[in-house]
Parts: sequence; structure tokens; C-alpha cells
Amino acid sequence: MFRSGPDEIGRSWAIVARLTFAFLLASALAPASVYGYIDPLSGSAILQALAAGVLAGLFMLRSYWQRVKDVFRRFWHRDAE
Amino acid sequence: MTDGRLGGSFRDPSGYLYRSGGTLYRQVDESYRENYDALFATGLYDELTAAGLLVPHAEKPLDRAHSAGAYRILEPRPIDFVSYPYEWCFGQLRDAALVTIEIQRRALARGMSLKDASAFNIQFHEGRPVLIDTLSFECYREGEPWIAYRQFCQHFLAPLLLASRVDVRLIRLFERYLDGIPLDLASRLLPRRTWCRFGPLLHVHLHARSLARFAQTPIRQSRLARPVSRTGHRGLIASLDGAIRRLSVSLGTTEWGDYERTHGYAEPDRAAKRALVAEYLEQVRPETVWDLGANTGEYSRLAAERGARVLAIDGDPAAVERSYQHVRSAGERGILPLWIDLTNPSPALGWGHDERRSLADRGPADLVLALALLHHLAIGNNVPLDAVAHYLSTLGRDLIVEFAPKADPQVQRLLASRADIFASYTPEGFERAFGERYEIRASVDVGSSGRRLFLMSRR
Repeated sequence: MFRSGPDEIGRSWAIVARLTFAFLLASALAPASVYGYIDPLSGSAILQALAAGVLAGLFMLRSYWQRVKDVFRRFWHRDAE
Repeated sequence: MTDGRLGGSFRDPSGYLYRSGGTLYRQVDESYRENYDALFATGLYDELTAAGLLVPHAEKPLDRAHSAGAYRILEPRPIDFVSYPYEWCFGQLRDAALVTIEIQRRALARGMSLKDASAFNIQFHEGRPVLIDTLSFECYREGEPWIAYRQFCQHFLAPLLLASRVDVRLIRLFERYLDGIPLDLASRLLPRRTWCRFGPLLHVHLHARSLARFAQTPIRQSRLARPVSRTGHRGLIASLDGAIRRLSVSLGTTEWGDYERTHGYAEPDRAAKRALVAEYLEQVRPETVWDLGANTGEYSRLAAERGARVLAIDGDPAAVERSYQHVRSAGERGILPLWIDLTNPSPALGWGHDERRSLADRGPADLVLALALLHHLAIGNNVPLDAVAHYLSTLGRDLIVEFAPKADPQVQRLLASRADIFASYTPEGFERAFGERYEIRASVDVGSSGRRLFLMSRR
């Protein structure tokens, strides 16, 4: 029977939306070229990009905590002298 | 070794290794000029060589170039013996990983970065791991992800995790996977509880899935590939470092773990054996020694103390691990413990069977030590005595070998659970088999069970 209906229209719009989105993504700013003689593999770069925030945060927390401990240690030693 | 380009040196357009007049050189290609100069300008070369993390080199005149397009010719300080990650114990791979991390950390601090993190770029020199690929560095560009991240995870983190959480013998997978353990394979093999730890979860499990998911996606087309800040980079290194430091193996009680207690030597007999081996060593004065079935390296040490460079080879990973821990803690420089099964030693591997050399191809040694080994090969593994003699003669010029007759308790243990089909395993059979390949220079009885220690030279 005649198969056009909300289902069909919805699917067409979904395709159009996806294509538009993809086009927008493709034209968005990409990082500086990642090249080298070994295959960089996008998955690796994307994971790093996604995790960078968390890893940077953890790193800064650890450095901050290390500094706090150092100050405390110096303070403690000065007290003990 | 023949002159010419090295079999395994072809993947990196920055340069390659070649041999000329018996000396090893590294040709630096014009395309690598900027990075090579930066290595010195940033002070990174000096820092790494001073810290013993990078192998130093001397620059040679360009007339020694192997082909056109050379920017520099380097003569690196030679490595005594080239070994491969599939021959390393857990501790060796772990230390190689930590050295790589340390190098990347220092490089970042000076505005450079490793463009590859292969375990094959690390060699052991005087007991410690060192980077041998001077052309591994590139200028760091802020925002770019670490290009060597995947390689680091496959070459170091994945095998170390598998060794620690599943079985130490999985390091052998390196023999099959020369670019490290594929992350999807590692992810599948690791126990489910590794999903609960941040390091393994991110760097192996999620990494594997991300690689699979974006395998067909060119990097430029994904907005997800946002810039990675320098702090993010440092955080990544710190995370990998922590994940590795948390790993360990339990040595357990493998067959040879209790060897020292049960090997059937009473104290005075052992002292006599040591003295005799020492005497033989002094007669031969070898520069290089391969101690086969070295166990924890007791006799390797005797040779190293006399100035030899020793390979302490054993088929039991726990023994090699103990041997290596001793080398590290005592700062020994003359011994390299390696995990090799003599009945199935490292073969020639890689493209054209020419990228990684077989064990025999990396010899021969001046002297081979085969103490308390023969009965394991001849009786434990059914290798005929003349076949053993033949193989040993390809590995070294001189030989110190111990023959234990069937009456010996160790041999009795091997015969206990099998039929005695070894008619020619007798003192006469031994001397006949070995006499074909070797000239017997000395032989002395040791111990009370009829063991005899021989000094031989290849004919």
C-alpha cells in the first residue's frame, strides 16, 4: 500500500539532520595535523581528547596535594628543630 | 655480521641503521633535520645521556653515508647483546616501561615528545634499560595528542597487565605480536575486575573500544578530536606511570623457585663445584659467557666477577625474575638475565624473517655454561646427546658442562614418572657424543652422586 506516513517522514528528517550535523562537524575546526610514520589511529587521539580534561584535573590535584605535603613537611621539620 | 642496511630498520623515514666495516651506524635523513637539531638545542640529548636514559653517539663525516639524502651520520655506542621483549621477565619489561615514561616526561618539559614508544627501542646496557632510538623524538606542538600513546599501551601497559593479572607467561605473546598486544585482545583476556581500576579501564578497555569505533574515521572529520593541552598530556603520562607502578607479579613457588633447596648438592659439594667452575673460567678467560639454565644466576656471577659479560638464560620466568631483581638491587653490570626455553629458543621473526634475529644468530659466545642442564634436555626432553652437543657447539667456542649419571637423585626424579628409554645416556655415551664436536680438556668428579664437570673446546 501507499507507504508514506509519519514513520517515513521521520526517517527522512533523521537522515537530513544527520547529514547536516556531519557537514557541520566536518567543517568545524580540526586540530593541527597529526602525522607520523606510525599509524596514529583516530580512536587513540579521540580518547585522549575526551580524557584530557579528567587527566589534567587529576594531575593538577596530585601536584597540588604534593605541594601541600611538601609545605607541611617543611613546616614540621622547622618545628622540630 | 654482514655489512649493509639492518633487516629490521625500514619503517621510520627519519633514518635507519646500517653496518659498514663491522661498525653500526645510524643515518639521519634530511627530513628529520629540524627534530634532530631541536634534540640538541633544547638540551634534551645532554640531559638524557647524562642520566643514562638514552644511548650516546658520535657524529661521523657524511662521506660514510650509506645512501643519498643523509643529514647526519651517527655512530651510537654499541649494545653488548640485543634482546627482545619476549625474552624479558616482568621486571625487565616494567623497568623498560618506566624508562620510556621518564623519557617522555623529560622530553615534554623541554618541548619535545616521543613519536614512538616501542619496547624494541629499549635495550639493556650494563644491567639497566636504555633508549637506543635517537630518532624517536619530535618537536612538541601544543594541542596535539600523543601519537605514541597507542603503541605505549600495546607494548608496555597491556602485556604488563596481562602478566600481572592473568599469567606472567603471556609476555610471550610479543613473539607473535611484534607491535605489542592488540588492545582488543588484551581487553578480552583481562579479568572483569580490571574494569574497576581507572588506569586499565581508560588505557586498555576504553582505548580498545575507541580504536574499534573510530577505525574508519579520518582524524580531521571528527570534532571529537579536540586539542589536548600540555597539562592533559602530563596527566596522561602520570596516569600511565601510576598504572604501571601498581603492577607486580608474585613469584610463587614454581618448579625452580625451590631449586636452591632441592637440587641435591650438599654444602661442601657445592663449594667444590663453585671452585672448579671458577678454575675453569680462569683457564679460558672468556669475554662473553652464555649461562644456559642459569636459574638465579649463581654461576653467572662467578663469570661476571671475572670480567665476562654474561647472559643468564633460563626457561622459568620466576627464576629469571629473581635473577633480574638481584641484578638491579646489587647494581650488577655484567649480567643480563633472559627468559628463553632452550628446547624452543627465540626464532627469526618479522618481515622477511629478518627483523628480529634468532638466539643462535646473536651469538656465538666465547664460552657456554651448561651446569645441571644436560639431563633436562636429554631425559626431560628426549633430545639425543649428540644433538645437544651439536646445538651447544653452535652457541659458543668453549664449554663447561656437567654430566649427571642416572644414579643421581635429580636424574632419578626425571626418570621416576617415565620409562627409561635412554640407553645411551651413560658417561661413555656422553663422552662419545661430545667428543665428536669438542676436545675434552679437563674433567673432574664433583659431588657424591657421580657427577662430573667437563671443560671442552670446540674442534
